[in-house]
Amino acid sequence: MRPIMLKGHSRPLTQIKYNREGDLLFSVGKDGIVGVWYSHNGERLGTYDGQMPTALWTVDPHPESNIALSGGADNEVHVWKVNGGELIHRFQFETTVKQARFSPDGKQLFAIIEQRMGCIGQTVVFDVPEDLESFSDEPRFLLEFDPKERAKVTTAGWGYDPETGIVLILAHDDGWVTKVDSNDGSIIESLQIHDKPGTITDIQFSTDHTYFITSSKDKTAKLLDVKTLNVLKTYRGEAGINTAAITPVKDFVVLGGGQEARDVTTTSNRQGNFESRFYHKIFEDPIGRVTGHFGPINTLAVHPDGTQFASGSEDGYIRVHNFDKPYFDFLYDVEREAIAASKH
Amino acid sequence: PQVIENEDGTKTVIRFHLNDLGQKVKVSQHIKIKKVITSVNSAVAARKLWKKFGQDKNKPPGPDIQTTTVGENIVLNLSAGDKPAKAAEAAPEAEEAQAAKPTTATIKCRYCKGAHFSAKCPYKSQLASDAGVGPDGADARGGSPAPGPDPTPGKFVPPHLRRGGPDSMSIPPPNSFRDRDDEGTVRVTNLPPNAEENELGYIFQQYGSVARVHIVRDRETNQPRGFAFITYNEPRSAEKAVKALNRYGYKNVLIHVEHSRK
Repeated sequence: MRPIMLKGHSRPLTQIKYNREGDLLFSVGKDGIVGVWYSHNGERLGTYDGQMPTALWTVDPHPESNIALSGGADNEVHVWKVNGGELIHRFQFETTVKQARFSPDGKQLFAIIEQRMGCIGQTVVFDVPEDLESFSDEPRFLLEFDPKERAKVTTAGWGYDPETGIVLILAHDDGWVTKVDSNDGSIIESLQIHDKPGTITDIQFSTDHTYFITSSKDKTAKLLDVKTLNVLKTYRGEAGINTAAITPVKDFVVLGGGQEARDVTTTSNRQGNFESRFYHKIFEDPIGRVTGHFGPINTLAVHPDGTQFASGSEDGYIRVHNFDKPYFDFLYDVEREAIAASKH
Repeated sequence: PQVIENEDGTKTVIRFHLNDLGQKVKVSQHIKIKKVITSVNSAVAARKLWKKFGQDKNKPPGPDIQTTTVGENIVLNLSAGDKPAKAAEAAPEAEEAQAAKPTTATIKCRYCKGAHFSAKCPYKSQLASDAGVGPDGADARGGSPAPGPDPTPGKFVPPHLRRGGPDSMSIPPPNSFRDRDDEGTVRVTNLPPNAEENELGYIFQQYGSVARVHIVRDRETNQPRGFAFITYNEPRSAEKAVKALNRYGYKNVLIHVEHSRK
């Protein structure tokens, strides 16, 4: 496959996201630029220029794709119209915004605020108004964790539990995960997933949000169930993993990260050695890798149709790859047998 | 330009122009236009018509070369149990199986690059290699397996404890320092990129015992740079080699052999 290289950022990429239909790809980086791209050909639709040129850590389109949010080191989350790039609302906070996402039903959004001297980190949840314009600065609820009890929240995402409904899954700096009710912010459950220090670097969900994958500096990524928070699978990597995603259609997961320390001096970085690694979601085996980046991969996203994936790296490039036929034809023998058996 | 409508629906466009050397060049292009109609979610279709904003304001439709390019072809090979490139991570059994098989194929002496084990080389007679036992010295990275106790792949084992005796890299080949002063070295240029140390060693050792074959490679990509140094134990061998092998036909190319200069 020939990857399409998107060169919109002069500094490392921090997050990339597809919208719900997958036709748009949103990107943010440490240069403070927000890029919106058409995913089928890499053409850039535009850049949102309303935020200060400080590092942006997070971007997320609303499920309807009419609006999107971005947040970062200017201590703000901006909500803006995707058609035209016009600012709709600014949420202002005490310190850096590390992560912000819309809920899958588009009715809420959360923001994770960094912990600093004098400020405990916070998780703030706001309601999204029906008209997508009249945002209120009053949070629905606000959560703080005592640093002595639980390390700060590094990232989070929305999950779905058929019984409780939409829940907020928080990932902490010490490898713990907390499940929170989205209505009132009450903590439902909390447990340790990754071994200490185990900073959780990314959390991404399945298409229906009933299970998710966490990536961690402890060199593993884990697949968990939202309802029970059981660890279903563990994928082992060679170095700290920065990002992980689940592929729709095929039963794979993709992990992205850096290099093992020992490889740094022995491999030439002229060669584009940094790779995204594919693992079989169920068998946990590494099955393939895609190289090409000249720096560690910071963020991965998979097209909701499972036909494409994109990686954003420290090298400032986004590479968009369309899967070809062998990718879709790949099956383990047991899978082939199972399919053959089910046909009879 | 002449445009021909072909019978099968394709067009042929023929153009003539003069190139830099004043030669007339005919360029003939066969064009097939294929219209593909796909159904797309109506919201997606609507978004395709949105106006460009921010830094792309007023730009024409279509990808901008400044921001969007196509990279080189990459193959994603999916296979169950894809093991990482470095052998250090492989299970101990896999590593032994791997080490046992290619050992016979890639035995290379570190001093003269001949097809025999290094142990205190010089010019060990080449046919004696197959009877050898134990790993060769050509292990580049990752540490050789330890004796007896479980060899954790990737764990560092000091040279004097490795299987295969005191094959430490720190012992320099005998005579090599002296040779460099005594002009027993020839420089071979115009080497084809597929030249190999073994082959060169074989050719040059007809004129005397070869202490060292060094094909100069790019430090990072390991590609040969097209020249090499062959060091003989006897300066007289170097003389003979220069006389006999200069402009010698090797793999479709004439290699040049001369005394190496300081």
